[in-house]
Amino acid sequence: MRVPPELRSRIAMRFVLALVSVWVAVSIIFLLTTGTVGDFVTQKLTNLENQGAETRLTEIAGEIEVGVTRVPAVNGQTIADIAAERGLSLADLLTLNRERDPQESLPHGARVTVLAGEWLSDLAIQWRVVRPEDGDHGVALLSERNPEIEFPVAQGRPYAPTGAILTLHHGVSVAELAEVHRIAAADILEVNPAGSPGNPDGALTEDSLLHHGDQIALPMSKITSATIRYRLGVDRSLADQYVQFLWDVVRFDYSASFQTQENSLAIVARALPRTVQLNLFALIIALVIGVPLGWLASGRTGRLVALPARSLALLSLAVPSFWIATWLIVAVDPGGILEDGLWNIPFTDPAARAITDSPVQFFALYGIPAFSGGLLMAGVIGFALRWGVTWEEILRRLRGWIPVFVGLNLVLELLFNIQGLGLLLIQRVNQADMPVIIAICAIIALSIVWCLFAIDSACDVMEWKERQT
Amino acid sequence: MNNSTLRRSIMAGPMAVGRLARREPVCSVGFLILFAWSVVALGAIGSGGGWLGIGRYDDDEVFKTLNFEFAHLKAAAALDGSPADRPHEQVKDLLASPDVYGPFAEATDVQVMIQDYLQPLIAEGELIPLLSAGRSPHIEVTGGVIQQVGQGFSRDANRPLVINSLQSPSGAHWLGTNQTGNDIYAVIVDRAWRILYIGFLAALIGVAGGLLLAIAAQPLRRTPLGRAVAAVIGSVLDGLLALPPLILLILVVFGHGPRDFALILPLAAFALPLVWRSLSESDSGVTLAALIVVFRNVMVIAILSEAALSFFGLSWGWGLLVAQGRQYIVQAPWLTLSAGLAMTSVLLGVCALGHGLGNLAASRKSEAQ
Repeated sequence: MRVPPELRSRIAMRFVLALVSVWVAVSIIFLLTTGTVGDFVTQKLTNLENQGAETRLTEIAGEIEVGVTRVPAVNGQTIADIAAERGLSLADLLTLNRERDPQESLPHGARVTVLAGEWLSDLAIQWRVVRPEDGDHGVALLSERNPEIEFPVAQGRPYAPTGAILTLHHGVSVAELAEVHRIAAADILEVNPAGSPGNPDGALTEDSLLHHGDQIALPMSKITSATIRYRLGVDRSLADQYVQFLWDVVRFDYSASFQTQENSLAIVARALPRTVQLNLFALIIALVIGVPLGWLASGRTGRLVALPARSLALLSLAVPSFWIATWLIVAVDPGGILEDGLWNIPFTDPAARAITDSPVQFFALYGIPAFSGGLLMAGVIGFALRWGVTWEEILRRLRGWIPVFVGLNLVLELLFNIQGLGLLLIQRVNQADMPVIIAICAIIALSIVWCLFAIDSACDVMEWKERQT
Repeated sequence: MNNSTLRRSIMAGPMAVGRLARREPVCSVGFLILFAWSVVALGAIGSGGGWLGIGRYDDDEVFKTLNFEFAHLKAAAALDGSPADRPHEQVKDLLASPDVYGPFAEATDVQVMIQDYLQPLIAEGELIPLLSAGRSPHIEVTGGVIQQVGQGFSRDANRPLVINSLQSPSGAHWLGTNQTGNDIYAVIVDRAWRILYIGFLAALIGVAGGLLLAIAAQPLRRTPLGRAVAAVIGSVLDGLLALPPLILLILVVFGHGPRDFALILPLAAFALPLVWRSLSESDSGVTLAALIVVFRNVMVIAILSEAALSFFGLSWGWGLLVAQGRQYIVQAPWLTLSAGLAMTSVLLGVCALGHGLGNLAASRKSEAQ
């Protein structure tokens, strides 16, 4: 079918307008998550950070033995691919990984040795010789402190060879330690008053040298709040943060989870299929119930049927899905939920989570939540059919309900332990895992915007066809 | 003013309701449900069961039991692993810190509980002996260190933790009691006002805002450039539609706690695109019928979203009662049943009233034409 230019330009305009919607939605997410970070978030993060608090200085090692640098492989990569990707010579890599075949496809996450040593800049950051953003300065410091070691260069970066004993610190001054932690030296002095284990003779000053194992107290709350501000990016100006946020979301570059250090997008991608399955199933059920209901309620089949049908449509709009779902589980009890008359969160065993294993499991897991979630939409469709005449008008009526429908179905995931976005969101909210929360919200918002775009375009096409006839 | 005018003006209200009932029976059913809930909710405001006595119980009597248990749990969790002779000042700070109560640190219940119950005990040095003396089943002291024993209530239904817990409906407790011995009727009535005004205010603010915006944008539709601007405004508002109201609420509560106004504003914002669409797409301009339908929809969405939020445990609406009652659904089904029925009836009232009024406005208009 040929698409007329008039329709094409209209849909192109819709596309541009959808981009505006994306921008607004992302800005709202920014405002709610990064722009105005609430007390609770900071409290929660401080709490998490403090779990590692200690007073003995173990993070300042004097000397270390240099190991090797390994990277995880992506599924299906070969040694040759890794060499090409990182600009290393294949021969070198093969000597380092003698046990591997150059053409062998590596399993996901397999550790491949890429360097017979460790990058100096990485070591400097890891052992707190310098702050993360001052890696180059760290290279200079470490070279200076180890005149007897020769540092070879690979990929234009100096590294320490495996087995070398590297002097990291001759001792760190209080001022240096404070700088690495982004706090003031006075803060460290304040928590180590004269007579305390870290400062027995009261001689601790900004220039005193600290060594590995010193019993010095660190102001953990100040360190954590400084680190948190840095990690959340709130130490920069709001405009800076906003631009960065937009750019990250557009590139699908969501930072690593605070909890597991895994890429947020990967975490979300694992949960997304479950949520999509649930919503599609619920939508199908909504159509199966809603269309006949709307037909009966429209009065075309007589007033005697219309009144009960209308009441049913009203009722299905009014019943909260999570409540009806609770009762349906009790009524149906698809095995093992109500043990000894007490509620067990259903489907916690791993076998049941592999929902696509068999159709029976699929329906057992999704049947009740999809029905309960679909009721709301069925009610909406029932009313839309009653008033609306054309399909186009019906679609327009349903449009505004789609986000509500998707949002409320998230609750059902909690109830049925479906490992989808809703369950993930509530878990990560409890853990104050900001990057994952942002990724979930952004993915949902993007999906909804494009869903609305599809509906609007479909309406345009219908309108155009109608005008043709 | 003579007698008959007075009588007529007094009777005007009921007469209108009567006419409404004849024309739209569904509408009057919705009106009656909402009217009943409003009376109940308004009547229960204030202490001592509310100024109408509808709350039935004194606040102290109704909520103290819950708070005792809650306090024990929280205290046990916070003190887990600390030495039994920990200085009382430290314990006090620990319990008062937002870490212990998370987003609910500023909730009135929690604050009142800390002030009235925990802090005096701590000050008198009685809390830890009390907790360890076995009055709380959640705590145990071994080798001078407090160990937390289980988190949450006992799952053994034959061993109720609190006197009066999980009683079936009776004359003393109309809707029975929950696991902490609270009268369910009193709890439901206590939370009714909140759900009604959050829903109503969100719809009112949202629809009023959307209407103002739509009216202000009306002159734009005369020129091609103006129409383009209107389209951009529409897509900006669609951006508000892109975040489901429940997610907006979760984000707001995450940052700022479940304050009522923090819940109303995002819900009202969600109404803007609905009003805009509904008004900009109808050919006849602003109609009362369209506005009523949007108002009803927004109120339904607001009430459902708040219920879902509290089901998640992030707010303290009726959804929380359903979530708590779920644990005891077999031995105490009235818990889940009553809270859910309360929610459904309010929603049904809103739907029916909105539906009927919408029909009425639509038929008025067609009659006028």
